[in-house]
Amino acid sequence: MEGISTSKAPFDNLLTVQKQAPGFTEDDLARVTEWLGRPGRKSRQRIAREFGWSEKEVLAALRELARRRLIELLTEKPLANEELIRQTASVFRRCYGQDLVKRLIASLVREGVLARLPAKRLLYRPDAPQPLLEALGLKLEVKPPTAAPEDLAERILAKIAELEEAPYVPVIVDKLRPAFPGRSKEEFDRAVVALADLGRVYLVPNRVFTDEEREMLIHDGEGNYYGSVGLRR
Amino acid sequence: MTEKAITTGASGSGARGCLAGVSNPFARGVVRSAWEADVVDVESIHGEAFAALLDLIEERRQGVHGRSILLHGFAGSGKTHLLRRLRLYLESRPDPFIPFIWVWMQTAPGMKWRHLRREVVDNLVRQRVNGESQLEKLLRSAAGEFEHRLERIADRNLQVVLEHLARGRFLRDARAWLLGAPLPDTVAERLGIGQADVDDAAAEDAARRILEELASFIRPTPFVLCLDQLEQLQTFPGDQVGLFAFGELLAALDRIENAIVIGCVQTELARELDRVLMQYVRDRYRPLGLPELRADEVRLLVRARLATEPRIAACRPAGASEFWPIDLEKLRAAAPEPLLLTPRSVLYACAKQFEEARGGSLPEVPLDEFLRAEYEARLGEAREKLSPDSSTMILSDGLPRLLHLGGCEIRREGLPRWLDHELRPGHGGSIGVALAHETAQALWRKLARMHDEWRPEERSLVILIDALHPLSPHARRTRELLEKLEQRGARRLTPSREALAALDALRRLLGDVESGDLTHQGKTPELAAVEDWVRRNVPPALGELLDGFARAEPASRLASALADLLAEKKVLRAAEAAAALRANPEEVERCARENRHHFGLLMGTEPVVFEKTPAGAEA
Repeated sequence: MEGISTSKAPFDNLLTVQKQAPGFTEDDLARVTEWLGRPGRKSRQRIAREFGWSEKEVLAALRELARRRLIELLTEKPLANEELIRQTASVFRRCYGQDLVKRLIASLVREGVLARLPAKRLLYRPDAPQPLLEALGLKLEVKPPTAAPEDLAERILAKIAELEEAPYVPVIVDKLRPAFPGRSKEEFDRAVVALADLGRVYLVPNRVFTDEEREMLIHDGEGNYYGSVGLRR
Repeated sequence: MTEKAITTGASGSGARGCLAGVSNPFARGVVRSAWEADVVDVESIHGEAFAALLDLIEERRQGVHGRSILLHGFAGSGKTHLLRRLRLYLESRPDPFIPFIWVWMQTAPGMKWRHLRREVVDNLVRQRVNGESQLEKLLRSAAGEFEHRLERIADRNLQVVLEHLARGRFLRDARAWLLGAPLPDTVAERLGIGQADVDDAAAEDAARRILEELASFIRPTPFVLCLDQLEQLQTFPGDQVGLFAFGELLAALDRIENAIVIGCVQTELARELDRVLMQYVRDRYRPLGLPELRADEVRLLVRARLATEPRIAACRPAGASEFWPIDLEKLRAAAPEPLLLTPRSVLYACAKQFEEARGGSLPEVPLDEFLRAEYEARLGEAREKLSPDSSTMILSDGLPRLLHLGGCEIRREGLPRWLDHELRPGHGGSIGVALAHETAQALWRKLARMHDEWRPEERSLVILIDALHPLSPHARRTRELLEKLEQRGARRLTPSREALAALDALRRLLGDVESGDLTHQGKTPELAAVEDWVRRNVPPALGELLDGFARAEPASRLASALADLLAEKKVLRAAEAAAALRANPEEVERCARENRHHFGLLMGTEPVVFEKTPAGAEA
């Protein structure tokens, strides 16, 4: 059946967010999709009889398929609410009607998976806004958000924890600094030195370095240069 | 744990007087070898890391070959101390027997396998556990399947030597061969082994194969191989060749099925290592970091050290804490922030407090004076240990270190086989250095290749024949080759025994600073300060050697090139010679004056240089 994708690839992130309801698997979803594509009268009761499921389980499976359909449609372009409902419900042949789709859209907007642009009455994917921007004739300039200083320190700590191969084996600054491209050297160095002053990290002196390398190293403002950082536990 | 005070009547100056006769239990802060005796150990310190080492051993004992371990720790964090604990643990559990080998890796990268062979065998034969050497124990345990195990070995000489050792024959000579020492032909003949004249590359390869075959012989018995201070493979900080050698060694040893390899490296080297080591090397080991001391561990350490001097408790004033005379709060201030708190920094701070408690203070020796004393101590040791076996290592490892301090760039890779190092002095030019330490035949072959391939216009050449490897009076062809090379401008230098001892002492001093094993007032001195001291205090014997290098510079290359030119042209105007050699006429004139035995110089409106024939040489 056209329109419903059970392929994971385009929806990986969203699928991992959406936990599967107990009682159905990817295979089950594929079977339902295939069944909906066959000729003949369709209803949720017939699905239940065909698969040996309860009505509740059928509804959960159809909801999941509808969710994927909505996301798939909005990946291509933003759509007005009525159009989105119509295009989604049409593939379910009354097994998942427009009222249910409307309620599902509202739920996904609340979750932040979908968003509305009230002025234009458009729905779009906030995690992939490019189609909306194109539709509006806008260009998006990606600028990393400027986090508060406390955020930077916590993010540095999180990054060190991620990169550390083992406790008390420090992370070299050559791997750490590039993870914060929007931060100046001074800002980054200050944050790391402050963490050391608080006893959150330890610093490892760099024994020898060229002038070119100096930019990469952490400078404490007192003539000391450090080449790696580790978490104190 | 409660801190109960053990009270006495002593107080104030009484306590100080009481302590005057007590030796400072915190004075000793460095464990230099895993074979040291009489070391105070607090088993709970680095307990997790120790457990990880035991897990590795158990894993290998079960035949599971996971990754080796590379132990990271700051200087003074207790890496060698932990290995010593491992040795004692293995000794206390002799069944199953697992040999323990500890190697201090201060060696030139180009000699790492020969160094490792010598140290591995030395550990096996010299270190006695319960009255028996480890090698004796291994041979005894192999008795039931000795012949079967010998068949695993491809090297016939190794088979023969192991058989001698197992049967208690020619023990001294067999051990010498196993160590890699060259044997006189008569001795080799008596042992029934062949000797090949090999160059450096082949000698390295042979050493590696012997180690692999020895490991194969003792299989299935696993053995622990600790490589300590791997950073010493670097000739100078930033030396990438040394780091590549480090990686190559770890990767190769990890492939030995029954080897349990534990490498140790300073945390301070982490960045250099990370940037240089190839992925295939990283895949072979997992890093294990030593943490800093926790507050409870600091207390345990202080308590353990105080307990080594029971008289301290008797001096304790009434109401004083059990840690008296140590104030644990003051130790916190001694933490070397933002670095980690190590056992060594704690012990130094405690040593200071102890001295203050007895009314004194730790002697504040100026760095220069301290370094002189340390150098002299090492010089005495070097003079005693100097031997033909060690002189090659001393020159290979020590000379580049010293020349690096003099501002030379050192190159060891991509050189012709007859060249050991290439130096590039700061002011330009290039000097090739060849160490002549091979056996007679191998040396002749090396010099012959040198004669054919050396181009004086590319680099100057210095040939080092040290005092412990003199040329045999019968080596006529070798002497002829040397003379030809000298006529073309090569310079022969003969480092004296004193120069070799001085060089050994200096390289050990520098090595100890780099590895953090030298402490001055509780801290490792700054390497730059020590290097500066070395530059200002080069011993006279070494100074002469360095002068020899200075004289081997471009001026001599010019002499050699001029000799080649005049061998063809016989007589030339100085200006013409200068043009042909891309030098200036004044340089050519000076060169001719300085080499009167080779060239003649006629001054006039246009100076002329000519080749001196043997008859003309007397003019």
